[in-house]
Amino acid sequence: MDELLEILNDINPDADYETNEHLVDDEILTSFELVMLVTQISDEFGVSVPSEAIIPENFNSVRAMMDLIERLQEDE
Amino acid sequence: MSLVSYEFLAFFAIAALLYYLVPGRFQWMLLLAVSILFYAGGGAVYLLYPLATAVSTWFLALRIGKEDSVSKAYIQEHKPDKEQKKAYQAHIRKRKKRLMIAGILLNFGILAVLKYTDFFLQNLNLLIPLAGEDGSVWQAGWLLPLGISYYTFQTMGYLIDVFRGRYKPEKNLFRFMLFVTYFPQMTSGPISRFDLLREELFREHAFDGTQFTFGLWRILWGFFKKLVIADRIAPAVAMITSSPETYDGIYVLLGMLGYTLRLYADFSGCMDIVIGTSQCFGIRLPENFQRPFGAKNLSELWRRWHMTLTGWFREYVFFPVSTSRFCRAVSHLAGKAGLKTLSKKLPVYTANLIVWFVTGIWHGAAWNFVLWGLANGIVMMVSQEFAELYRGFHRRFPKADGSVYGAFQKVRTGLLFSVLLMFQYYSFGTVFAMLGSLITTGRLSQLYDGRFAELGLAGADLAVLAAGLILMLAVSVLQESGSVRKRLAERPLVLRYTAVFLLFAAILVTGCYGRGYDASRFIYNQF
Amino acid sequence: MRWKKPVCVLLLAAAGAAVIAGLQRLVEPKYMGLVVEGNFTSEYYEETTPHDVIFLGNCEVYENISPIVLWREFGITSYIRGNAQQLIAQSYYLLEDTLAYETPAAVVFNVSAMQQFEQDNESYNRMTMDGMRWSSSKWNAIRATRMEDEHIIEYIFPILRFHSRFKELEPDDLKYFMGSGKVAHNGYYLRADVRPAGDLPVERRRSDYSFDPRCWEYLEKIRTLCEQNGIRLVLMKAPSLYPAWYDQWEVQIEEYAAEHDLTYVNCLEVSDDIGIDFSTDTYDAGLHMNVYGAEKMARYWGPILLEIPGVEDRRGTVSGAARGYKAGIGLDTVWQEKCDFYDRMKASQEEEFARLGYIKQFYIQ
Repeated sequence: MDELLEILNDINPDADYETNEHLVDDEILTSFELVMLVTQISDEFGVSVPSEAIIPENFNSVRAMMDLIERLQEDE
Repeated sequence: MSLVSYEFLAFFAIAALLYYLVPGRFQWMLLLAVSILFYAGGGAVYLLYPLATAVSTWFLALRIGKEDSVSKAYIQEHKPDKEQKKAYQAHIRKRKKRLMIAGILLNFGILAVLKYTDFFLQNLNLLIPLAGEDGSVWQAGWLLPLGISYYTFQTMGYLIDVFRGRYKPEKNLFRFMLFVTYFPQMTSGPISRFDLLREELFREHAFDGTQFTFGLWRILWGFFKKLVIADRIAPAVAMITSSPETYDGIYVLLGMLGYTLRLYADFSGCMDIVIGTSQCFGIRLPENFQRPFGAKNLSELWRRWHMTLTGWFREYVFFPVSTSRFCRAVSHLAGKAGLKTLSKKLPVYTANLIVWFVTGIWHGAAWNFVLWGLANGIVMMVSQEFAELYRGFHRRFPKADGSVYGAFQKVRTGLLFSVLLMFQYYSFGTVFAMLGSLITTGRLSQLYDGRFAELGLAGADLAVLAAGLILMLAVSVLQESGSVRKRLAERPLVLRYTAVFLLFAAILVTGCYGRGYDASRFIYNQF
Repeated sequence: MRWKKPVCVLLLAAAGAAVIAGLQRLVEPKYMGLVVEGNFTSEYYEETTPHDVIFLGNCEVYENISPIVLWREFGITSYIRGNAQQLIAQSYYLLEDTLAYETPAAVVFNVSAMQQFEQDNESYNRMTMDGMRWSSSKWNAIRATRMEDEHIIEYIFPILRFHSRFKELEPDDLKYFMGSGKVAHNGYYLRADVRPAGDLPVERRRSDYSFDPRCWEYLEKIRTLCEQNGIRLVLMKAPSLYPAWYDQWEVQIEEYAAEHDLTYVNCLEVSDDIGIDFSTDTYDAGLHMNVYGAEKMARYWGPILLEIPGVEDRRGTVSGAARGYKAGIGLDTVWQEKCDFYDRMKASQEEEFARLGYIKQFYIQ
């Protein structure tokens, strides 16, 4: 969780990641930032995020992102 | 059949009448018949292209779906351990991928051959002179089937979605054919997603007076934008943009703004006609424009302009390329070499440039369009690089977020978009020469120097244009706080009737359609 | 109240239709200036008494014979249903249209329209057919002669054709909003200026002198229609020096006339008998007659027409019964009015021409 928050704050420090649940829908995270995020998640958590997983539902909140990471880790 | 023709209106009226006369379960079949008829109106031979795309994609998607169910059954039956399961799934995925790639190669192949052969030949000629003695290069000169860029993209989106397991493939070939050829959207989009359009197309639709009226209103509004605004300035814009040697100085700005306005009024007007027509059939289509000139930066503008196409590129090109094994490997390498920033940004920027290259060439088979696309991509990367700087600026001056600054941002973004569009109509060198000419010699007084008169815009045209623009702007502002049509519908009958009637009369009288009136043709001048 | 809404909707719809109709009338060309030809077709419907003779054809009839002289000197009631570049199919349907109101004793058809079946200038189609009252004849005329990019709906709603005139509305559009003024004399286009015939382009030889089969088909239709209605059909070729009328064409028309026992007069061949002087009797150098030539033509044709049964000297009588007309109207009064209008126009043009050397209305700057 903290690792993820660190990555997020590095990419875009302006958002309130603790509470916001519409990060993608509200365009707080642009597609540029989304991809940078995915790249860094892959590196930090040792998972590979397939492109079909890049959908708003998986990235709208920190909680959703953690869920995705856990799911991917299980699959590995 | 053009969307702006008497034939289309008659066709639409008959189709709508029949649509609500047949029993609900036959409605989609009627739509299919009507769509095929519509397309065949432009030459029955051309029907072969969308039909080939429909049949091949339908078949391949079904095969992909079958792989999925076979693998599921296998796993249930044999209960393999984790390692075995993983290997098996990888094996199945490979098979599925082969099918998907076959479909993509075939259909994008057809598109590429038809649309880009001549472009390819022209460029090949620059490398190896192919020209005959008279200096001409052999050109295929193939006629493009109407809407091929749109329906190919829509269909390939479906194939990729099925491969990704987003939804199950459609079993019924005819239903799938309707998805590919649905007549309002087939020729110019919007590019729909199967899982969303399916819900709309195959439902039974009882006649809904409100929806039907709203659809008609929207069609009317589309005709207004297209006939009163876009077609009015089109000849003048074409004249300015095609003769930079005559139209320099202030005319560069005029041409630039005119080109953007024409493009927007034409395309978004066309979308209003398409989506409105579809709404009359009770079928919702995705929006393609969301007041793009309210955007505060270029990438936001592009999220609100031709949205279904940019969405398509984001989903099926940008994300896959940026997360591809190749990009990741390169990024890794850069990271190891200690280039941390580069490693972070390499995948995004690579994918970004690819997307914009393709976007450019999608819009037109010429280097102009490629340059235009790449220029957009580069501007967006530069502004991404400056993002940190902006944030810093706003932290220091939190007040610089008011409406004045917002308006400045909107104007700046619109202008930037228009400047970039210059790449579409000027050659690369000319763009800079013309910008230079605007900055160094541009003067408002040039508008009175006789060149303006050559543009063929009479005083009445300018008045109509001004009124039309104010109306478009007003509607746009109203839209920000919700549906204009809903609010109109809540007004008293007399008021809303008058409003719609005035719009209709304005199109009827001031619209640019028909052959125009040339008094001299009415002079008896046989000899 | 329950009836309130439907009534409201109806009223609004009626108001809307009225506004559109008003806009349509506003943008329709009024043809009251340099070009008056667009008014010919509709003026026919203002007639109050029937006619013994109907002339059919293009400019070679409406500029080349004076119905006023036919009346004044022979007592013949006649009307010219002719328009600029009126195609043979349009002549046929205008005859059909005429028969809905009256049955003349004779129809004189000018054969120059045999040269060409299809329209080459959309404006001529509009000027000929816009003035027609709606009937199956009008519908069929449009269908038979519209150009490739003309739409029938633009005839039903002329606003679709003329809407872009909103940019160039003139005082005339308001002045003649309720209806254009009278411009012709029983279909005759009066010109009192003189421009002697000069050098005309040399006749070009053609590779093929046969008429379009569709022209023959419509000539046959005109003949049959006349026959069915007991009308005597007369063929004429007006004394226009240009465009050329070839001997090869003459032979074919002569053969057709002989075969069907029709009178055919080629005025070019008898121009000396008619007394035409091409140095004084044409206003555009030999293409069309001016009023002096047209009056000579009327004097030549009067006796020929009077020989046809049913064509009579009607002076001092009242009008007979016809579908579209009330019987029993004194013809002298009706025609006196026409004669006065004719004389006034002729005198004013003559005065203007003597003073200026041209006629202002028809002068192109």
